[in-house]
Amino acid sequence: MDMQVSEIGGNVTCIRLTGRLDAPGAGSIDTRFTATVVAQARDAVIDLSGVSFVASMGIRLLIASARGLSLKGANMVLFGAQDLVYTALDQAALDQIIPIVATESEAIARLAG
Amino acid sequence: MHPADDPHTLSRDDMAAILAVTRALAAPFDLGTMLAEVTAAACRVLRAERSSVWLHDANNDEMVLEVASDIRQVRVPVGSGLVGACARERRLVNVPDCYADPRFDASVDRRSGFRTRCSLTLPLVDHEGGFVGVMQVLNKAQGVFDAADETLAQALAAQCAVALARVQLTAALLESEKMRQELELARVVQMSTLPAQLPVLPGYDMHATFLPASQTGGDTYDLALTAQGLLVVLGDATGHGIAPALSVTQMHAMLRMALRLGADLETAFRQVNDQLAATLPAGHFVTAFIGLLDAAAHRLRFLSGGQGPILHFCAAEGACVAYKATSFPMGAMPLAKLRPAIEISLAPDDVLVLLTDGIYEYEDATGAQFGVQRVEQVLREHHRGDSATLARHLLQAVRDFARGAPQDDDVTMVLLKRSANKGHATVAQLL
Repeated sequence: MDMQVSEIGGNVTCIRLTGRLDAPGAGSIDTRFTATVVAQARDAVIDLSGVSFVASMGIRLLIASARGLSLKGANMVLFGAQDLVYTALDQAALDQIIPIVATESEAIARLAG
Repeated sequence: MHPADDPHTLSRDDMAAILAVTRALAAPFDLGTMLAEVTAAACRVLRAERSSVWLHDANNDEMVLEVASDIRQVRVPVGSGLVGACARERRLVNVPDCYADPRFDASVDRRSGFRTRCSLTLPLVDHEGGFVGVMQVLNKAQGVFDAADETLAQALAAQCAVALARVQLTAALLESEKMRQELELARVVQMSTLPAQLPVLPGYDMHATFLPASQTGGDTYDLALTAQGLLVVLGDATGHGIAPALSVTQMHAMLRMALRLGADLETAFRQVNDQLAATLPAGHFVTAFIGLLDAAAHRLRFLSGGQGPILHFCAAEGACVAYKATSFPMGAMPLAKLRPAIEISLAPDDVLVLLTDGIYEYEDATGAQFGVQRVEQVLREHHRGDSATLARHLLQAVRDFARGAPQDDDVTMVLLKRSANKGHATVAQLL
């Protein structure tokens, strides 16, 4: 699982994930992902376009980070999920905790709105 | 100079000292005691003021100072300072005047208040040639470390390396045994949540299968007659080991209690979710389907926290209606707003099919998943049989698909089929 961190507009963290977000994949980025997203305590958008699969441990990582961020007054938005990944997130009703949108610009707009 | 003619040959006294160290190092099985023995022996045998042992942290390529008389837990990158230089070059470094040597890092002295004059630093290499750490002795009582000291130190280092490797191996075995015991306990806890036998409900045929993975997951199910109807539960707690087993145990206990106290589906679901959110460690949650069947009206109402897809096989159409979760996984956070329960009517021969992701996400050797469509295909082909037979066909289809690929997650299924005949009873009559 690969994880690239960048900044958008100076106040939003953007994390681009590539690979399988299953138990080994989530385990390989767990600490770094949580440290980057939650520790910075600012809004974050997560690019899932490079993620080919998500399992329960991946969903756990996203929920834990979103919850940690929310406790610090910031928000997280997911975008770019492929069909298989979107279906897995949708089946688990993850959108009730973390907004899931199609594109990066929609994600930024969602944070602003 | 030691009283030996050849600096590369140990004197009788030195030999006795090394053998004494060997004997002392054979006993301890914990790292702290073993390192304390080594450092004390090094000071004694080499007549040094201080000694320390640095262990190699291969993950970070750093040397970690585990024991010294005055400071603890110092880390230096391999290549930095005399210890780092010895680790990188894997050979003895004898420095008669440390402050004159550009490799010397004086920061440790500054932290400890000690002043290093001379030092002897040796790599610790075990009997299989593995690099395990570095031993360093500082400040010979008189003069500097000479060739005889180097020979003596190398003999000591060899003993130390072997003892270190043994202690580390023992620690790894103990850890592995601890993990095995934890997994065994988790399995017992997990199994205790499952009903000993399934209820009998005229007009319905039900079956549950639970196939645990070797690394225990957190699957559970329940089928029980309650005053509110037939309780149908399928749950999957995140993670492996004892934590998910305890999570599903909590969920089970709270759910049964809430229903016994007369709670309706919505109240029980909300209460259990919010209690789990308050008690589970961060990042832990349980995906759970919770349904109540009114067997007289053949209506099933359910809420699902993160558990999906939920399949209703409609016999008349020969197809499935798939429902997704009504809310996020239970315990992820308190429920601000509860979406309405979903109600479905079960016609004769209809089947409610609840499967954990251990089936949907079962992978073959190429990484392809079993998926929902294959489940639907099995249901179309075999729905006329009873639920136990249907479950066998589903498992066989998974095995045929997997072609020997290992089971990574618990596989759990609950099948509830309305019989084709018209017999039925109310739950109140059965309780």
